[in-house]
Amino acid sequence: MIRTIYQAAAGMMAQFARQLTLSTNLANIDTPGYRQQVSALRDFQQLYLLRLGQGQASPVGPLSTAVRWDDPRIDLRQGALVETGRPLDLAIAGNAFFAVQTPDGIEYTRDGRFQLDAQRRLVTADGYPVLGEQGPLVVPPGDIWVEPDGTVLVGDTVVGRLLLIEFPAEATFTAAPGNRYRTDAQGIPSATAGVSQGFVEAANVDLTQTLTDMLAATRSYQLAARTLQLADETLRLAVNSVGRVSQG
Amino acid sequence: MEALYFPAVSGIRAQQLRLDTIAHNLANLETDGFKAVRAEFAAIPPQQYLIARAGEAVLGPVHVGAGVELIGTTWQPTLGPLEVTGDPYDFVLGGPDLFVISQLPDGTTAYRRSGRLSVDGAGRLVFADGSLLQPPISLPPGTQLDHIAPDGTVWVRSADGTTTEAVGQLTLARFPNPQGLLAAGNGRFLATEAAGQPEVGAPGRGTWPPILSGVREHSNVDLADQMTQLIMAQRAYTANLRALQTIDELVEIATRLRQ
Repeated sequence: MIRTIYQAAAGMMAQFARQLTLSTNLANIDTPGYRQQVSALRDFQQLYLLRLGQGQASPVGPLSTAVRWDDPRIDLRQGALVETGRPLDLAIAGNAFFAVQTPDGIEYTRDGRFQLDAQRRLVTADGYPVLGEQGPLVVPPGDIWVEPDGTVLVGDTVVGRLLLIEFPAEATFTAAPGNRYRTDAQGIPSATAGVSQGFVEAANVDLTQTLTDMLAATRSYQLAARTLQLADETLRLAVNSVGRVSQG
Repeated sequence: MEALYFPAVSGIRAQQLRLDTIAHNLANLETDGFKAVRAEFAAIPPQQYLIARAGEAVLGPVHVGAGVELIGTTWQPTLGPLEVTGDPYDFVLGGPDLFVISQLPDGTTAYRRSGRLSVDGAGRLVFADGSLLQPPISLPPGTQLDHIAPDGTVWVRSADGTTTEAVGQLTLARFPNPQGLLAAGNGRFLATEAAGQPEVGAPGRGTWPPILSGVREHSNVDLADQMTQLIMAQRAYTANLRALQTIDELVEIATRLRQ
């Protein structure tokens, strides 16, 4: 019985965590380059039940006592490209990331809202240099033009080429500040990704799906809460009513 | 406890700020030289939660997203629609990172995009707020402004209209990162460390684009774009409000567990 209570409580905790992930996705629905987080639920460690009787134990089967909420995965699907007309807004079509030099090492981002810093380097919105194939790009005055393959030109002069890094499908990412991600996986320069100048990539959060998941999570939470109350009620009966001596 | 509500609240706040910038842009739809402002948001990286432990059931440590934050505002660095006015006091700078230099009455240097000049009582060229053009240019008595040449030379015409004479040349300033300038109202921008050291030059030479005289630059706010943004911001606001209500509903259920 106590087990049922714990099981229901675990369900509630998991659904709550899922709800928080969903609301984080909604909060970032307008954050360019944001990748939505997808949570997954799975069984907690299983127990093996045995029936004891007549001096021997016979197996009953496995039982999972709880549900476990995994660390959310980052959904890498392409977001919509939205035109802004700003020469330093860059969006990637394809599977690659921009590489950014930060004090914590190289981080990767899909958020291409770039600008120039006081040294005329191409930097992210929070001021970290965006890497080209030969290190940070220093852009001289003039009209900036970015080719679809990532080559940056001012007038007719080539300034450098943006480093676009692609990762194997099994790579895992952890989020860092400024819409960036860290990974231990080894990436390779992308041969297929294209850069669109004057666009940003919108967040890949699906509003309808998120609100639907939110409803489902709420109902699952209610159900788990109800289960907990029922288990509690059953326990109450067991404790208070079973075996009560009639006071007749 | 507050951490539970924070992602949704941060989303609501973000959309509120976005609505504020849209309102600001719409209010400046007719302000000459105005650049549309955009609020820039970034996701707050997930926090590690040791969510809970209830007997055998353990959840965590897990990383749960923490919402969204405003990291700044930037302006649209493109020219607005140009209108030919033929008025010699109007001019447009050829690039969005170019500024003319002015001196405010208290002596500070301000940079401005707007090219609307006028003449004060002493014949000096000033801007609409009374600040002096730098380096100063004065019109000799009895003359009036004829035109400003593409290279920034200021030409005046004598009172009888027969002779013209060059009295000075406009100097431009260019910042590596104009987005880093501090907008001080009245079209003034103040230099900051983030904007970098200004480079000073004369228009029409080398990498310095020429000046367009007799032309006025309108606000680059695009009404249709702003209205679309407005609708999207409202929808996103509502969705985040719904998320907040949902989280609150869950907390309500939890608090009613023990009847």
